[in-house]
Amino acid sequence: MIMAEPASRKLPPNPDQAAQDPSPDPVDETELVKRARLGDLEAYDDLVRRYQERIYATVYHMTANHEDANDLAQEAFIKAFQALKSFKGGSSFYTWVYRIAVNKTINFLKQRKNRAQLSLDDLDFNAEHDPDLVALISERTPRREISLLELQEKLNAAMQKLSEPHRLVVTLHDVQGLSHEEIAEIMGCNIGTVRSRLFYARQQLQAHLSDYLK
Amino acid sequence: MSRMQPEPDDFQQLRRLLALKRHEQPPPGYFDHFSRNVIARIRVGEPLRQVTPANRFFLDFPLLERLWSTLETKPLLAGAFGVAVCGFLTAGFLLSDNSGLVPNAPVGVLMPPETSHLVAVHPNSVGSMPFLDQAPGMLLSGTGAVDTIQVRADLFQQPRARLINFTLPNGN
Repeated sequence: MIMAEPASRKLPPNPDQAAQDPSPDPVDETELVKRARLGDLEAYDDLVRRYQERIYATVYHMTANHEDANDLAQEAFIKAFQALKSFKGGSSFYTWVYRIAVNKTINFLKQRKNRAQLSLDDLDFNAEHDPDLVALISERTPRREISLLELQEKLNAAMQKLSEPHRLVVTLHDVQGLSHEEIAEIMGCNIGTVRSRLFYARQQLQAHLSDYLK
Repeated sequence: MSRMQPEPDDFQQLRRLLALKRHEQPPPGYFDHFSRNVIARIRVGEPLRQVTPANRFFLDFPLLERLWSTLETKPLLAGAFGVAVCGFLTAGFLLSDNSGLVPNAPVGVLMPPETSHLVAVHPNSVGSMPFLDQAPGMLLSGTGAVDTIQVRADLFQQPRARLINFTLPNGN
C-alpha cells in the first residue's frame, strides 16, 4: 500500500493490503478533489473507494466495534464532502480525511466511555497462515484456531484499555504501517510526541498481554 | 536506569501479535456497498443544503461560513461576539442620535441637513415660527419669540434665515 502522496512515501508493512490497494495517482487525486468540490459525486465516489478500507480499519481498530466503525467511517466521508470547500490542499486529501475520521472517532469514544462493547470483525482465512502468528501460537498452544480467537479478544480488550491517543498511535503505526511523520501530521503533534506515545502504548500493551507473550 | 528508546527487539513479540489485527476483516462484500451508501447519504442531504437560503448565502461568502461554524462550536466565543455586536450597535445608535444637535446651545438649534438654514427658536415659541412665512428679505426684530433675525432671499428665492444677533433684554 502506498499512501496518497507524495509518490516517495514508504510502503507500510502490510503486503496483503498492498495487493488490494494499488497506489493512487496524486495527479488524479487532485483532479478528483477539484471535481468533487464542484459537486461531482462520481469523482467523490472514486475518492471514497480509494480510502474506504483504510479509514474503516482505523476507526474499527479504535472502537473495536464493527457497527460503530461503519457509522463513523461513513460520517467521516460525508463530513469531508461537506467540508471540501475548506480543504486548501496544504496536506493530501488522504491525510485530511484521516484527520476528520480520527477526530470524529475520538469524540465518539469520549461520549461512549462507559458503554464500550466489542463487536469484532472475523479473522480472514490468511490469519491462520500468517508466519508471525503461526510462530507465536505454536509456541503457546497446539489449539491454533481457538487460540487465535482468544488472542483476538484479548488483544482488542488490551487495546481498549489504552487512552485514545495511545491506541491511535499503535493502530496507525503498528497495525496500519504509517510513518511517524504521517501520524504526526494526522494527530497534529510533533514526531517526538508520536514516538514517546508509541513507546508508552507498547509498554502498556505488553504488560496487559504478558500471558500471551514470551 | 530507565531507557528512553527501546531496543529493536523489545516489542518484537508484541508486534507479531498486533499483526493479528490486520486480519480482522468486515463481512465479505462490505466495501462493495460502502461508497454507494456514502454517496446515497450525501444525495439525501444535498438538496436540503442547496435550497436553504442560508447555505446559498454561505456559498457566496465562505469566510462567513467559517466564522459561523467557529461560533457554532464555541459558545463562549459566540457570546462574546454577540456582546461585541450589541455594543457596536448601541454605540452607533447613541452617536447617531446626538449628531443632529449642537452642543452647549442655550436654545434648541435645528440644522436641517438638506439646507444650510440656521433657525434660532425660543423654547416658548415652539410651533409658531412666523419668520418662515415672511416675505424674503424681511427683517424681524424685537423681544418676542425670535429676537433678531434677518431673513433674505437667495438667488432662487428660497428663504434663508441667519442668526445675526441674540440679545435678551432684562438679562434673560
